[in-house]
Amino acid sequence: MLKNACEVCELNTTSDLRPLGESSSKYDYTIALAGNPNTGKSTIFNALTGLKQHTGNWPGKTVSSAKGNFSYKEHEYQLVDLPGTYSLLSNSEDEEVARDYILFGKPDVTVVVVDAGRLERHLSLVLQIQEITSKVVVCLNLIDEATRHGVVVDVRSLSKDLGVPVIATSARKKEGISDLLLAIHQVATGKIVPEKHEIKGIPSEMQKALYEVSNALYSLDNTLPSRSWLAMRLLQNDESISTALSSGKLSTKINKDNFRPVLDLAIAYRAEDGMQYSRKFSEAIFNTVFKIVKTTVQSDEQQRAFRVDRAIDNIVTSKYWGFPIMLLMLGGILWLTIIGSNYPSSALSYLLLDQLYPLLKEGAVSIGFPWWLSGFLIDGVYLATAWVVAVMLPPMAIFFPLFTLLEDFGYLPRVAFNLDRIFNKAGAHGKQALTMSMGFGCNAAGVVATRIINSPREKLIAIITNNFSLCNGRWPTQILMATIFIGALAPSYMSHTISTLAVIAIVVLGIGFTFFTSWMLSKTLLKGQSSFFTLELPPYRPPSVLQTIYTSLIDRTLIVLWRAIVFAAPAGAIIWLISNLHIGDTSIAVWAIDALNPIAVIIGLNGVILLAYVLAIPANEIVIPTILMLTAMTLGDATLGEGAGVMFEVSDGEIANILKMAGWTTLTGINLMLFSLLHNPCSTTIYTIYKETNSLKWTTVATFLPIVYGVLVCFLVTVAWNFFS
Amino acid sequence: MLLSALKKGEKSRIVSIDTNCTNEVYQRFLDLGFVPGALVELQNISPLGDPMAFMIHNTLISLRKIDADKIIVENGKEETSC
Ligand SMILES: Nc1nc2c(ncn2[C@@H]2O[C@H](COP(=O)(O)OP(=O)(O)OP(=O)(O)O)[C@@H](O)[C@H]2O)c(=O)[nH]1
Ligand SMILES: [Mg+2]
Repeated sequence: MLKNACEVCELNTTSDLRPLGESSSKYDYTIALAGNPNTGKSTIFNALTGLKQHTGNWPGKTVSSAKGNFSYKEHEYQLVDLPGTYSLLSNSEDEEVARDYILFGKPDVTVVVVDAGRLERHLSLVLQIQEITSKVVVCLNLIDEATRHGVVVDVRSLSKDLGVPVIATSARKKEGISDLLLAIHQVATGKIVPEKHEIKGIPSEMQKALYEVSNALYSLDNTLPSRSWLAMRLLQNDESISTALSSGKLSTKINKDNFRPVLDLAIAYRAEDGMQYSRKFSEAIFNTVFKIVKTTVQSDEQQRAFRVDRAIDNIVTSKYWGFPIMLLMLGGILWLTIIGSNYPSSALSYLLLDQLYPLLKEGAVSIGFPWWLSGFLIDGVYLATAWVVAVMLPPMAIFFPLFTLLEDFGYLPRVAFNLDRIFNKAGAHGKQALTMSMGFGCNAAGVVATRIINSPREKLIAIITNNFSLCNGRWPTQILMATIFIGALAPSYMSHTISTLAVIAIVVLGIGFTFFTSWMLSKTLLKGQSSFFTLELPPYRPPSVLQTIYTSLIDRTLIVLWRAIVFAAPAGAIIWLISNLHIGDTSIAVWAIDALNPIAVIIGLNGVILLAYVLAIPANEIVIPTILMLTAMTLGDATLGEGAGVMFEVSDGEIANILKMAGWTTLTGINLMLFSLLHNPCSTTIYTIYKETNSLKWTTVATFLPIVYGVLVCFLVTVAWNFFS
Repeated sequence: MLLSALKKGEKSRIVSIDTNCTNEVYQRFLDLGFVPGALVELQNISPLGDPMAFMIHNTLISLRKIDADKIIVENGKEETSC
């Protein structure tokens, strides 16, 4: 590739950067990315390593640390992206991962990413980290946003006041990254030695206590990191820290016996001043911060950008418009998905099913495959995969980028703000609205996101109810059923609108089940009140539309394709096998369908649907393809004979015809929509739930509760339907 | 008066934080910049009346009423000064 003049120029230090992607064990220095939530840590991580950590405009997007490598000049670096943390002084669980790494991970350089427009808040963490280590680089990110908000920072004098390199960046546009690299390089290699910062204004008796306790720790182990922080913790009577020390977890040189006198010393001081230590310390830090900010930051609060944010907030959280706008946003995304997936869906099915499928069949014949081999491979494995790609991929590939745009804009925290009251009443955590929203993309991701919830009780509630958010793999099912069985009832110019409304109704029902289940659990198995929480509502950030669409399209498409191969291919194989292996003179599939049918009819479904849900436990994406293949097979069993399990033709009209021929009614369609909302989570989600809860009991509850709901609801709807018609 | 008693759009200065609240809550308030002397404004109220969003140090932070009541602010109105 040709390089332009700038890329090879000596002054352009980015040309020395080589992103190395996934972490390897070979590196010279470890660099930690620390900072408050939502400051752009993951964006910087991606820019340096070339990886694709997820980013999003809400606090708490990253919940576990990620590692990646890059090389710069003559060295290789490992970069650690940490979850956001407000301070090192709290002991909240959601910040534990980040706090532990900053304190005890012994990174060679800690890059503290701060929001340039909000230094009053963000510098406090910088000062706290400087107490632990002097190898700090401050990354003044979001400089573009600060400028837009009328905030001007004097970078030089800030750097002088703090005693560390301060680099202004705009990570999303990759501006300032080369300077950041240089600073990291210089601090890591010791070419720049940052000053150790003193926090002024700490009462002298407190200084004395801190000094003595941390000295006592030093005499036990002179390599123990974060001694002054540990001393503070001991003075605050943090039992987890004294246990960690006395059990030798933090240092092999410290044990129960030699630690005892240190603890006694701390206890003696503690008696004098109790809990006041951390408060005095925080206040001292804040006073220092305010002094620094006063001399280095100029701001104009009357800036237009602030007014715009405020105006948007006044509308989206207003008494009358707040809820309608949420529904409108949801409806808008769904409507675009329905309209947008029409064309690619039929194009893909024309290509994969109308054109490629017969070619493959002919090809198999011409090279002399026996019927069972071509049946197994082409009618089974190939068709199932092709179906997933044709029917499922387009809506998923459209829905996801749209959702990501909304997420990047900063709307999700407003949803949490609007819904909080209901979650509060249900005894659940306010951030559950965020994890619920993430569930609309993927339930496994939603379950992982619950780590932002501090209280174990409320986290469990959020995990168990996440499945009531329709995930990306279920949207296409909803859309297809709504289009065929409900939209089709309306005049054609309204059919898209009616279908959209039907899907919205299902989503709202799902949210209703989330509230109801949370409330029920808080009253019974998981008794308790909603706990303290704060939520930062980030500024609206105009999303970089093209980039978001591009990456989430590529991202999504690849993931879906991968899942299609991993899950659909074996499912296709099984479908073909059970359709062609016979017990007596009925195939196993027909036998199973006939066995399930009587139960299925009671709840307004049919044997094919239930069998499909059993086969589709690994992934929701394959429910519809499985249903269609099984239906075609049972319909055609008599005529097709050998090689049953075949299916082509894919337009909505065709699918409708086939399903109606198989005896489906509007009731079947509605019940399938309900059952698709209310059934067990997919295998990936179940596994994730087990990993997060570490409990068989709660995994079982989370798996079976939705099925119970599904059966009950479908049954009631069927009874009502039969009563009224 | 209590922070939650502010009207929409009203500004005031923080006087103190209820020292009876747990250390974790107190610390989180400090982390978010709710320190004595800071200027806060009630910017938005959720459609259902609770929680409320306060503008403090250029950041919008949502608190439930019950938690906002742990913060005491100066009485009466104050004009923007800083
Ligand atoms: N305008 C602008 N937006 C940015 C910049 N850096 C990051 N963003 C956006 O800010 C949001 C937050 O970025 P992330 O990288 O997810 O932040 P984070 O610090 O990893 O957040 P947590 O993982 O929640 O702690 C995303 O929507 C980014 O696209 C920047 O320099 N300018
Ligand atoms: Mg992140």
